[in-house]
Amino acid sequence: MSMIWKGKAMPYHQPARVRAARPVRLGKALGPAAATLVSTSLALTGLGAAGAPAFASGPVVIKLFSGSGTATLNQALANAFNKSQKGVKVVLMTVPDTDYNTALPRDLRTSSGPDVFAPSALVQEVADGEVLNLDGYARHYGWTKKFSPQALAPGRVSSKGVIGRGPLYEAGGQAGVVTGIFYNRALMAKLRLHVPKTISQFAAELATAKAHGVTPIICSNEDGLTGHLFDMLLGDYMGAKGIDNVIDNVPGSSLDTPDAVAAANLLGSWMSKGYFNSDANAIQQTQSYQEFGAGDGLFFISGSWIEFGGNFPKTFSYGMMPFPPVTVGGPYVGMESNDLAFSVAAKSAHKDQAAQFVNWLSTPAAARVVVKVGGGNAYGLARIVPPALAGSLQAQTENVYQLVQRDNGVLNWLQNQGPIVNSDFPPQLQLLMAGKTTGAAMIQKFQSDVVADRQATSS
Amino acid sequence: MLAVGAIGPPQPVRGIEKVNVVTTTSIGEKGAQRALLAADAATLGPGRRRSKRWRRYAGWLFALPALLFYGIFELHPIISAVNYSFYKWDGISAVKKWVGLSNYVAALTQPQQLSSLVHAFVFIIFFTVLPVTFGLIVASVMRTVKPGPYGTVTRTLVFLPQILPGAAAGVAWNWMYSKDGFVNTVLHWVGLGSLARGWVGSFTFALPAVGFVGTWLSTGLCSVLLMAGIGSINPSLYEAAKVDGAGIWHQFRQVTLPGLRQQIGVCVTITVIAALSSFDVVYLMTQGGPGYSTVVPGVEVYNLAFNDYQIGSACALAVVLAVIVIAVVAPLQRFFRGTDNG
Repeated sequence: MSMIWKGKAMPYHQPARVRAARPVRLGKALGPAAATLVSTSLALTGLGAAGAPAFASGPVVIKLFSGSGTATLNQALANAFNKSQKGVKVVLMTVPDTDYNTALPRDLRTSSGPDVFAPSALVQEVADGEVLNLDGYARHYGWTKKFSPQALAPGRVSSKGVIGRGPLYEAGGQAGVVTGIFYNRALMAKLRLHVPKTISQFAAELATAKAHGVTPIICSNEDGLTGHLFDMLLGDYMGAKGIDNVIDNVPGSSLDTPDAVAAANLLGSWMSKGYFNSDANAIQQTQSYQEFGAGDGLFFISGSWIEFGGNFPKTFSYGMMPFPPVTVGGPYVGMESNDLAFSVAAKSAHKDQAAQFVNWLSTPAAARVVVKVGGGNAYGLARIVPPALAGSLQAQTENVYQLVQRDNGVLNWLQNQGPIVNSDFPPQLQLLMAGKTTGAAMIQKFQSDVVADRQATSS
Repeated sequence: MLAVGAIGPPQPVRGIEKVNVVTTTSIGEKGAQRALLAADAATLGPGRRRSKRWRRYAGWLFALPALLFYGIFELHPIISAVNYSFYKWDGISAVKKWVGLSNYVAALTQPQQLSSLVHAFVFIIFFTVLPVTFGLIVASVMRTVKPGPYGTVTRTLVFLPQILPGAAAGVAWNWMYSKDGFVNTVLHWVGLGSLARGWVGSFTFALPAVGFVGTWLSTGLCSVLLMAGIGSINPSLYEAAKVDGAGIWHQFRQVTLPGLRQQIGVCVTITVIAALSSFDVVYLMTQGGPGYSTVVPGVEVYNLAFNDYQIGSACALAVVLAVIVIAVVAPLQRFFRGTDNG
């Protein structure tokens, strides 16, 4: 389903199975005639644009695949790169967000496809041989020294389709959006509520709002976006590692655990208690913005992408706080997308230059573009403070991003495990909202989807 | 067939009288054609006979471009789809796994895929039964309206939804069905505010709500077709019926309905196909939700193919849908054509 989780189609950083670890092929970089001549030297020296061969007329053009929602950010990244680097020019290849997941695999199969792209289903695309093994570039550019193993883990895919192990297929920098709880400042003050320290405190605040006739949570569920809340509850109850193991297809990992069922049951109980807007199942994200922006509800559980693009009236004042942990002082969890993580197409004719761009994405200059243009945040740019209701939205968001990073609480969306579980997300959450399924039954359904997805990519 | 015969260098129409003779013996068009060729050949010399044969093949030559396109863009995809339906394939990888009929078994047993087929049949009520009924009413009423601006405006308004793309209609109706949308506003006006709800989010009402958009879209087409048909009924039949003392109902039953059989047949065929293969309105309005309550085969095929990467299952369901469409439409065609002479 064409779910828009942020600007682009879902930030799949999911992977599944790799056919075989392939050596980095640096051959076709500069066209058939020059290929043989330069391939060896490029491979050895990693010549990028700065050292572009003299016989190349004009800059080498690198095509960057982009959804329309992230086109502004990607264009800004391309502009900053083009300004600072000579001999290589990054241009955008933009598709509508709703076509992102379907267009990308097809474009990758053609020689006129993109050179650099954010994978829509990394494991699948790696398995199909469409993604370039970046290990050689990682050594050349020193990514393995620059970043911690955890930071590079999401870009690794093993030959068995396990994420976090095996060759590197996706790299770049660390900056992006983060999920958490947005709140209506006026209502928060009126109801005299504070930043909840635990899930149960948060539940108490939902009850307080309900008792005062205020809709506790505004959400759209026709597109299954109660999933953001569900994903964070899973992160809280299963731990970030626990849920990510399932998403990353770590052998033996299962979603059907008491912790996951507890998370689903809690969400179901909030739904049955009427803590959501009554038309949640009938509306999509845009309409939910309208309702929250009109002051119809206390909380809005989503990600920091909502802060950009004029989704709310200018007069509407709202803040952001981290999703609370189960126990006081527990780790903060949240989903974070990485706007600076990209892969190189195996069919790219300019692999070296594409890798040069990916390397540039790991610089502070690129992170600053994300913070300035993309509404993202980057770790280490500001001092971490305890979450509070006071403070600007931007500072609060920055803080949430860093809290989650500090606590190793970065989650992936469960939907990113695979396409089948992704398809079932909206209908299952709609059934839960309507009380037509139970938390346990929903978890079982998702587990069977996870198994089906794993089979689909490993047979 | 006639087109084939008509193409080619101008020939003396020698066989025509013979053809007339032959056709009146009612051996059918094909027989007549064959007879024409045979008769022609008999009256022509050997050279002429060769040119006659050439003429026959020349016809095919002229048809070749069209046949080529038909083959590439119609037959090939159909055959490919049938072929894929026997495999487990993600649509991209080089590896296709033969799974025999299991995709078909899934299409006919998996609750989600099966319910999509059931929903398609429910849609026949909304896409066919209601629009044809409304179309008959509109056409019967319009027959009594004298020609003039009123009739023209009415016809235009009735037909208007038909020219809107289903996707646009879906979005517009989604707004009308929303919590603060037109439908709920009207309910509040008339004091039925307690019934107001997010219609497309309701497990009970989503399917009828989406189906009604189909009714709204199809009614225009049916009305215009039926209005045209009713205009071609000989007015003296109505006069005669009136003289015999037939009221409005009996005029409708005994004159209008039999006179419109062919047009009704066209309406039913087009709208049944639209109902069974519906996609745009549903996809835009609910994407099959809430839950799986409005999943139709078109949406399910799309999801299987482009979201779940299960090309084999998607093709199997598409083939099943195609067979169902043919199985439903063929008898309808026979029924409406068979009563043509009666």
